Amino acid sequence: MIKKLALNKSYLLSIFLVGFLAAFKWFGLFIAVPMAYAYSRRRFLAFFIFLVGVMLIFSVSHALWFPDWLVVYKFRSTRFGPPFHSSLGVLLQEFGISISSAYLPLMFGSWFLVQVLCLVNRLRPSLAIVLSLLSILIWAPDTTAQMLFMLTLLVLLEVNWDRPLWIGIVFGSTLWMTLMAAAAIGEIIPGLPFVNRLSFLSGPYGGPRLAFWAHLPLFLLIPKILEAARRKNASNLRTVE
Amino acid sequence: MGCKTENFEKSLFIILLIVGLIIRFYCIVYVDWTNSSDLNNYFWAASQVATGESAYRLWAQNLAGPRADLLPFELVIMSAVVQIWPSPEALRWFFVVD
Repeated sequence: MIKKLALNKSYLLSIFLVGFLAAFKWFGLFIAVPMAYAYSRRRFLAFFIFLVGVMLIFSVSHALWFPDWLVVYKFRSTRFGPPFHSSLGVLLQEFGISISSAYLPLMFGSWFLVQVLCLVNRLRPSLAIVLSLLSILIWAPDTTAQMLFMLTLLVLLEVNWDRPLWIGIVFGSTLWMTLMAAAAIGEIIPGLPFVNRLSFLSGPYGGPRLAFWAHLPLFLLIPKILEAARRKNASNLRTVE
Repeated sequence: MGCKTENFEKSLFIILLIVGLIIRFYCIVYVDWTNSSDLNNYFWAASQVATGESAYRLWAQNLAGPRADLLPFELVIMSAVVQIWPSPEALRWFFVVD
């Protein structure tokens, strides 16, 4: 079994790349389970070795400055206050819903649900990778419009581009989101000096109006995400498996 | 048909990657942002490492001014960039692909 795995270059390379990504950016850890699932092809030992390999690379990367870097984890674990940027919490607060004491349960609860759905084969791995990132970042209190922009692009790689209208709607709303973020920040984009005049629509940076515009493309994509979740045998499954 | 879809997805991915890099380059390097406090945070941490100091120790002991939250490996790479080009501008270029 081990010998077979060792000969599988793509399997070993993916362990290295996911481990490298996790060592470089935390979000690499969040996608480790669906990646392991995709590359282990439902073989438990291969799945287990994949995760151990990723964790090993992640741990070794922490060998430097041990245990000084604990300060970063302490800082991160308490980072649930301002600045709120464009988070969903800001928007929900406007409707009288406070999630300020539930950030961690919401993040890890929804992330865990995605992992379970992937492991019981209810989500294809590529969609599970996208949703793993979405489930963590969507609840983060310091989520920015830039993060949401990147999440929207990631989701777009998974949904069905069957109608040009969808492409227009999502790109249009993403462009609008970008303009609103620029207007709220108050920076004038060179060549587009009118942008800061749109601040009467964006509201101040960190406010509920900007949070709404920043989430709008993802809200529009919800039906397509659900459709993608039902479409288990989509073509992009092949690219992962 | 399947091959066509796969090619379309690959092309789309490459196009998004290139467009994304161009936009990132424009926003991060080309545009002269007036708020560069984050950039200075990261430059400070990378410079500490480049001189053999542990940025984390300074943060832990409250001996540091600016605050950043970087993984050790990310900090190592940033310090390598700063050693090659000791300027906050180097980190701007690095952030295009970071």
